[in-house]
Amino acid sequence: MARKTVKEVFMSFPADEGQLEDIRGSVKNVLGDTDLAAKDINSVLLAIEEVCTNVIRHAYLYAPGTIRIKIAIHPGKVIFSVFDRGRRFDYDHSDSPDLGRYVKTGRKGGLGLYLIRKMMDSVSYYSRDGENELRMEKKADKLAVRTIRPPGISIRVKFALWASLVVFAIVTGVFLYIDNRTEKGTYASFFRGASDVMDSFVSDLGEKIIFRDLDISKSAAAWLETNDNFISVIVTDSANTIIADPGNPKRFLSPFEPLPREELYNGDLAVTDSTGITAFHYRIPVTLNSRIVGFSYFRLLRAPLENQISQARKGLLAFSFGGLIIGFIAVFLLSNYFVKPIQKLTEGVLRIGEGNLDQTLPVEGTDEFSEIARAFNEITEKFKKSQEDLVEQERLQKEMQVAQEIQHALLPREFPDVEGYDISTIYRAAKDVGGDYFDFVQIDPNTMGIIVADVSGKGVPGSLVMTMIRTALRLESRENYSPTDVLSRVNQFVADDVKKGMFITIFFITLDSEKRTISFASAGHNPMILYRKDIDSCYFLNTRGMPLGISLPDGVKFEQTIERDKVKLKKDDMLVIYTDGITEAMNKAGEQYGNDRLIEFIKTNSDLHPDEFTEKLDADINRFTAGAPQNDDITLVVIKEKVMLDELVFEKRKRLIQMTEEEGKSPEDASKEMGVSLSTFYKYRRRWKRLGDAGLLNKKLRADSGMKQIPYEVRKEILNIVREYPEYGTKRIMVELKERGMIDIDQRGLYEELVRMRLNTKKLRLEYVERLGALSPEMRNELDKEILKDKERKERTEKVDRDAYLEQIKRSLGEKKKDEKAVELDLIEKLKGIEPLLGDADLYGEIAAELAKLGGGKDLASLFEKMILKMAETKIESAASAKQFSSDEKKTDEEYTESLEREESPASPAPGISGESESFMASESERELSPIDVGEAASDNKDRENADEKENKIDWDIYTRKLESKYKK
Amino acid sequence: MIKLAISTSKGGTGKTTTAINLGHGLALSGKRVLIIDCDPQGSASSAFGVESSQGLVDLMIEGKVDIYKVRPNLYLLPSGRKKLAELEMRLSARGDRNKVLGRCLSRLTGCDCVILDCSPSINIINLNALEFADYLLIPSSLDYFSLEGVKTTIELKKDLSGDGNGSLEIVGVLPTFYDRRTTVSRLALDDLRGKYGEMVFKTEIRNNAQIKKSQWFKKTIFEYAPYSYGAYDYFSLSKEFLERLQV
Repeated sequence: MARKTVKEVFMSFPADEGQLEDIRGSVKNVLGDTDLAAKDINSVLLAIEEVCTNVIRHAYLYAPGTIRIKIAIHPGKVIFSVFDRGRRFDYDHSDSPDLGRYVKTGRKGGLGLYLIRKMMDSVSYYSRDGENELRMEKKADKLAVRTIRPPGISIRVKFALWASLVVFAIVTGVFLYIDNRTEKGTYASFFRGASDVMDSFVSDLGEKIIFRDLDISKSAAAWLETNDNFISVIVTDSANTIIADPGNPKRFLSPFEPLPREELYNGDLAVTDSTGITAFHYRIPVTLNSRIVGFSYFRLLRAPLENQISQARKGLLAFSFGGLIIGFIAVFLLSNYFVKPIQKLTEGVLRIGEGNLDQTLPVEGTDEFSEIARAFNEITEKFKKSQEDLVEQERLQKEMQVAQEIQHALLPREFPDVEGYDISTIYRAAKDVGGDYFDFVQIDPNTMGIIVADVSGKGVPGSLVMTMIRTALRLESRENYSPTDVLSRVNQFVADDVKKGMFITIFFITLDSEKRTISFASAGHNPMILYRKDIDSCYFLNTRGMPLGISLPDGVKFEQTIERDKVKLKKDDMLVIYTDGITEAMNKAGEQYGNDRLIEFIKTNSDLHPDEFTEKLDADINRFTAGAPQNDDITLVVIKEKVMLDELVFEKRKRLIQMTEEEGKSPEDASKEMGVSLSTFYKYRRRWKRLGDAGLLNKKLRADSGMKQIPYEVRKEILNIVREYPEYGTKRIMVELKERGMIDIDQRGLYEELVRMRLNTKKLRLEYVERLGALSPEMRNELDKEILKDKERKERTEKVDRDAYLEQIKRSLGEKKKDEKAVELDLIEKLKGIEPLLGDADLYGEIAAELAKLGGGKDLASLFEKMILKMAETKIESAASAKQFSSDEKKTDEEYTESLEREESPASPAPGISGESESFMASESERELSPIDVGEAASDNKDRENADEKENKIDWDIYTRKLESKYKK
Repeated sequence: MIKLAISTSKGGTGKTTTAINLGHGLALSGKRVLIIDCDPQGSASSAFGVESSQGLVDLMIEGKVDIYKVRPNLYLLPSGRKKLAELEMRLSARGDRNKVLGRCLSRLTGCDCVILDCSPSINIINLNALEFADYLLIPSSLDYFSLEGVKTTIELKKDLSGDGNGSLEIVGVLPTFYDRRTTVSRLALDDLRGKYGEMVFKTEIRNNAQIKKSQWFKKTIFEYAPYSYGAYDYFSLSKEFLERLQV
């Protein structure tokens, strides 16, 4: 694992404490591929940081400079050098500090060098040529060297041992077998050789014995000479008398003493004699003509045999040894070959086990090991991922927690008191952070704003948006009584910072405790519910408005999209502002709480005090969801007006009227009973007759008394009635409504509602039914009639209007500028005569001069000039053909040019045709956009168009002729 | 009421130019003309200087819209630009998506001629327009691709006829950007007449700089250069158009 070469890395940093992080990072990168263990790396980093800090703080105290770091990576150790050109440091005199003292005094810092020494294996300091070097050496810890072995005998050793044992056994076995065989062979050949030699000696001995040939002795001596293995040969006759004994000639003819035991002559056993010579004894009978004539006694030395055997064994041993060595080498190589991968795997696995998940195991080849490695890599990868996921999840959880904390911090802790109103709120956060937010702001001492908002994003971003909105709202709502303006400003405040795709719906209402009015504006929020006690019905109150943070189409400003409305609460009325968390609260069956339930609840519980009401509604929702998890925040603000004096007064006056009108009491009695003067009675009866019940209200309450909206149920019923009886007018609809038990709405209010519903005329109603496809044939006739009537009526009114308008213009023109008018008329006359004189510059100059003389005639003059130029342009084309026409035709032709001139001005929305062309412009918040049907639009101005058509017709005919004559050629 | 769609799948063949000039021509001759800009680019709207983001799209969503009177007898329903393109996406999910415009305009009365200026592609708005229209005018500049476009559009028309709108009738193919001096223009015209015969208008709209100039000044050719041959061509076209419909 250790690198053989020294690797050196140089770095340099400006001496600034801000760089420490960089230094740390860079050094860490370098150390990543050294042999240092992770804990060593950390301590090294600490040391380097300490050194650098000291260099920056002390060496470069007075002047900035650079720190150079050299890291030399040697096998098994790393040498760090930190160079600086700052003040020299008295290294030698900075001894190891007294730790005890440090601990006692609690002093921090100053322990740097001590730490460095502690963490590094050796530290030295040099200072030369103005450059200081602190050199530190860190040895790679033995344990840290990255050959991680499992405890106990490694598989490799085991393998080697066993394999060696096997090899050894085999070799030994082979050796023993071969040895045995050779020994036997050696024996055999030895003895065979000996007996051959002996036999050849003995073969011709018979006669010589018989004849006692003295030559025997000689030849025996010669034989003995030639066969060194034999130490003696004795020839005897059959009576064991020595005939020849070359070793001891004196014993000639003396009797031979044979060995005591006959079996010793087998040649199998060696006999050691007194001289210490071990030899095999042989007795070979000498025969002549198959008759034993004597014996030859031989002594064969054993030593040569032993020599031979030991020689052979030596060779075999050497050979076996060689075999063993080769075997061991093979074992080693094999173990390397087979065990290495396992070892590598083990190493990798252990390293991963240590927590180094970035490690991957090398995958080589396609055998089982690489399979394991691959599988393990996968496991590691998955594990790493899951660990990362876990970290991410923890982070998210933390984020959620933070968001929740922010959100809870934002919610108002105490509800301000608004005089005259009872307010109660509930807020139930969903498990995950929801996006609901509500707040109270004091607009002025008498006015309070309540905001209920729903941010589309959740988590920290959503919370931050809430924070922004809270801030913006607090800034912008002060002394600002227009909810729309507040919302616009808030939008401006947050629009740029809100992330794309995130939006905020806001319901903003202001309670004016003095005027007792509630203004509200909604930026895309769901409506609030107004419950009117006296008629026991609910209204959904909402205004137009886009949510905050939504990018609007080009040219549309947020301010233009938003509207506001006002409402006044009457006795026992209730205002419920909520977020969709309530209506969309779901039970386990997936059913939503819904508007119907909410309205039903409001209706049945409207008598409760807001506090009780919210409590009960909360319980009701809980009962409905029955433990199903809450998936969105629930925010609810309930407002009720406290009983006011005004209301009491109204009740009293109403009672007064009732007594006389319904119960038939005389005004005197009634007045007396109610304790008011007769004149007061008459006053209020007058008002009542004129304005209905509203007249009895105090003035400041009266403004709102005709409620703009009509309850939802009533509206639905109106549509039903229209569908059934399209021919019914307002009055009959009202009667029908009453019959169906709907509230008693005054005729005017109903008419206004019909206007809003675009059902105010018979034609519209018939058309509505036609659209639904439920028009009966006779009704269709009615519709046709209506359309005709409508047309006629419009023509009529148009005529009158036109005439009146012309009158008006004539008056204004005629009275004031009579003189100028005269000149103008003169001018117009002149212009009419211009055509034949086209090209007469003098005349044009004259006219222009005269025009300039007129008061404010400059515009006219320039207009004239333009006209002349225009005419000059067309002249070239038309001059030739123009001459062919008679003068009066020319006159109209010129009129044509004039008329074209008139139309030259850029197109503008035709007010006549659209009725309300301003609706293209910014619509004011209060005014309803009322687009005009295409059909109506086109037929609207038939009359005036007819006039236009007439004009154009003349032009067209002349133009046609002119064009055709020009292009005929 | 004449309901005329000016459409071809090829761009730049003079659909809008034809719509506004034919429209004004008809208006001048006494017809009450409504031009409906069906092109999200809103070229026809800007030809009259109308820069509105409301228009056809509002009609198709809310059933109500304001119409601009741009000239005597001449009305314009702007397209609604970007919103129109968005609407297209919304419509595509609906089953009756080709009939929305027809339904919205069912109550349109009091005008003699409705001209639908389509965009150069086959999209839902265009299909709506073709569904609504009774007549189809195919302008074709005299080049190869444009002739291909004519073919595609006629095939589309056939498909639509099979689809239910049998009343759609091709009033004619209009050769535009005709330049007598170039051989290719002449050949293309011959080709067109050879292929479609009587279907091709006798009038060719010649390549006239005045027409292009007039657009700069937000005028029709009848206003900008009433005696140019561009004006004459559109004048002739208006006449031939009315003759063909025998009005």
